[in-house]
Amino acid sequence: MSKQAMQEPTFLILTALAAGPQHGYGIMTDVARISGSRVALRAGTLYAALDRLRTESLVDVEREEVVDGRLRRYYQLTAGGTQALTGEVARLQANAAVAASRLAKLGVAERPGGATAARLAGGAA
Amino acid sequence: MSHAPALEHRYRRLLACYPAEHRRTYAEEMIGVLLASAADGQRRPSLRESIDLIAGAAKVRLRRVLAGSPDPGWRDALAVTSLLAPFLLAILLLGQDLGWMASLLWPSGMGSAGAFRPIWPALVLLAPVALALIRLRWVAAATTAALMTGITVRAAMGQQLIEPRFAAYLVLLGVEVAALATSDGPRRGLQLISAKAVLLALPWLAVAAYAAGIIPGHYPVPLILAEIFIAALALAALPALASPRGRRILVLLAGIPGSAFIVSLLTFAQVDFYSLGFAASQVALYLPPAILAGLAVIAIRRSARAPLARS
Repeated sequence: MSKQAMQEPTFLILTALAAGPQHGYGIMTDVARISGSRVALRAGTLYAALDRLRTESLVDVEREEVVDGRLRRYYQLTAGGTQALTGEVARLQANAAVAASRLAKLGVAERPGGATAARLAGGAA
Repeated sequence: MSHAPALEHRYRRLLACYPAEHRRTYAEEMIGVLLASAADGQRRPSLRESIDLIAGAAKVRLRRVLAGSPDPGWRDALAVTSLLAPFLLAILLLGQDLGWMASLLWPSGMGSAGAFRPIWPALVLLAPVALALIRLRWVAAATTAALMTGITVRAAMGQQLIEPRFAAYLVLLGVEVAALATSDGPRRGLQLISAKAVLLALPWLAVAAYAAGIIPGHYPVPLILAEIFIAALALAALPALASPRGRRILVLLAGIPGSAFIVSLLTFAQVDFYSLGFAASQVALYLPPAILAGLAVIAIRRSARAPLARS
C-alpha cells in the first residue's frame, strides 16, 4: 500500500461533496468556508480536479440542470470517493496523533483554539 | 451581478487552451462559474484567473498525454503519422542521403559493406514500425528516441548539425517519437488507412510502376517492395487527407518539407547559410518548422473553436 497523500484541493473538494451533491460554484464557496478562506479554489483548478476525479471514478454527476440558459452540473461522491476520503482522513488522523504525542513529550500542547503553546521554560516558539 | 459580454468572450479565449474534448464537456459550465465568481463590472479576466485557467489547461493536457489519450482526432492522426513518418524518412534517405545517414548511424568501420550498404540505414529507421506492429510500441518509441539521440551526438561531433537536411530528418524523427508515445501506434494507423484498400491497390500499382519504368530492374527486391508499399499507402491515404484527421496528419508531416523549402528560399535570397554562426544557423533551421507547426495548430484550434462559439 503505497498510495500517495491526497493533495489539499482534492481533499477539500471531496470533503465539500461529503455534505451532498453540489455544483461547481457551490463547491468553490464551500471549500473557502471549510478552509476558513485559506484556500480559494478557482475554476481552472476546480475543473482540472473534477475531470481527474471523474476519470478516477471518485466523483460522478448526480444531475444536470439549466439555470439562466447555462448548464449546471451537480457532482456527488461515489463509493470509491467516499472510501478514498475515509482513507485520507484516517491517514491524516494517524499522522496528527503521532505529531501530537511527540509534541506532548516536548512539552508543547495544543490549545483548544488550535494554536500551540510552548510550556518549556524559555522554550522556543 | 452584471458583466460585459467582452468578459465572457475573453474567458472563452482562455478556455481555448483546453483540449477540445474537455471544452465540449466543461466549457459552458466553467463559463457559468467564472461569470458567477466575477466582480461586478469586471471587464477582463484577472491575472490570477488567467494563470489558473492556463495552468488548469496544462494539467489536463499533460494528464491526457501521460495517459496516452490526447483528443481522439489528434490521437488517430498521430497513429497514422507513426506509420507514415518512418516511411517518409526512408524515402528521403533512399533519394539522396543513405550513405551519409549510414555514417551517422554507425561508426566509420562499417564502411563498405557491399551493395546493400545504402539500404540498411533505411531499414534501421523502419525497425520501430516493425516493433510497434508486434505490440512493442514503447520499445519502438524508445528505440526511435535512441536513434535520434545517437545521430544527433554523431552529427554534433562531426560539425554536421548545421546541415539543413539533418534538421529535416531530426524533425521527422521527433514527430515519430511523439506519435509513438502519445497514440495507439502503427497498428491503429493501419486500421485507419484500411488494409483492404492497400491490398487492392498493390497489384495495380506494381504493374503501373513497372510499365512506367519507375522501378528499374536492377534495384534490389526489398527496395521495390518498399516503393510499392509506400505508394500504396499514399494512394489509400489520399481520401483520408480531405478529412479533419487527414489535415492533422498533413500538419504533423508538413514541418519537414516546409523546413527544407524555407531553408532553400534562404539560399535563393543569397543568404550564405554556411557562413552563419552556429546559433543563427540553428534558429534558421528549426524556426521554420516551429512557426509552421505553430500556425497549423492555431488554424486547427480556430476551426475547432468555431462550433464551441456557436453553442
